[in-house]
Amino acid sequence: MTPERFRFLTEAYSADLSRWPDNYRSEVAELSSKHFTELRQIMVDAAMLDQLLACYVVAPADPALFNSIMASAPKQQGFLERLFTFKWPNWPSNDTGNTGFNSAKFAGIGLASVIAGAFCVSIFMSSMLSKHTDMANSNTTNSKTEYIDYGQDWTAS
Amino acid sequence: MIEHDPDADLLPRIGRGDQSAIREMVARKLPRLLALAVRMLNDRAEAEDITQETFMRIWKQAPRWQTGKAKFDTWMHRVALNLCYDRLRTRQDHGEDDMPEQIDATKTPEQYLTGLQQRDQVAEALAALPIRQREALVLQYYQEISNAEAAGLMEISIDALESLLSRARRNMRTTLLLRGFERKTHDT
Repeated sequence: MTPERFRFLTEAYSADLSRWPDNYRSEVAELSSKHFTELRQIMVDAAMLDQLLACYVVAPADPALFNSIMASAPKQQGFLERLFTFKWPNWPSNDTGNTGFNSAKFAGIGLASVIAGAFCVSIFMSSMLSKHTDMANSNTTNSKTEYIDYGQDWTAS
Repeated sequence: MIEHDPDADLLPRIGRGDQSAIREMVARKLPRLLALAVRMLNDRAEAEDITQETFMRIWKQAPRWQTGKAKFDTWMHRVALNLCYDRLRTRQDHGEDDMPEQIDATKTPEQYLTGLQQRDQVAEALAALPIRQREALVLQYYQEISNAEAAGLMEISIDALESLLSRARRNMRTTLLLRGFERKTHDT
């Protein structure tokens, strides 16, 4: 690094070396051992501008602005919304840290499982009932009546 | 892959409407966003509009945010800057002059200093900078964003950013010197 380069970087990053990118610092240290007086003057000049820039302080936000922003924020979700947007942390996770398993997919699989379970139960129940179901003809109404035989012998009465 | 993002943990909670996370996000980002917009636009009311609009975008983005792709603070700055640019374009379309008042040669530097506060003079000098120089200075100096991030936000190389910063500071110095500001600071 030359003193000219140092001047250019001081104009860019200010006289405060803590604001400079780390990769320049060792070069600056080396340069200052050879050109201390010159570098010092460059930094004094830049520091004056820093002092001026620091004058420009922005007043804090009004409470009204804060409240308005808070009012625009999303509201707490209900139970069902939380259920469908829940993300299982790190299961399975990928290199980018994203949860690789979409919560919507999880909810979909859960719903499909419930439907499949209900379907199996209905099949099972209907097969059980069909063993005890009979058809009978009514002489009075001439219509078909379906009844379930629970084991009692109705023909005997 | 980015380094640890200090805001990432808040975003899923915000997406679920967690009020404590929302309050924390507003407390963290409101001063930064407002300062950015005020310094870019030199207009408090417009800056407050931009700040509110940026938060609306944050609320919308929070449940969909994917950690690792970008730093949240950088994304937020990009949103706010785009909104600032829209405002500045609207001003130009309506024939409003983005440049502040010109230097009045009839006033002595001392009159300038007594007539206006230091802060206002610096604000005017900043507003007088070409927009890209202003953006570079605001991001790097006031928002304290690293040079790599600022260059990324502005979609330029680090060399180009350094050049913009250098010209920005030289212009600020010239403007303020014309107003007798620096001499006064030096004297005091």
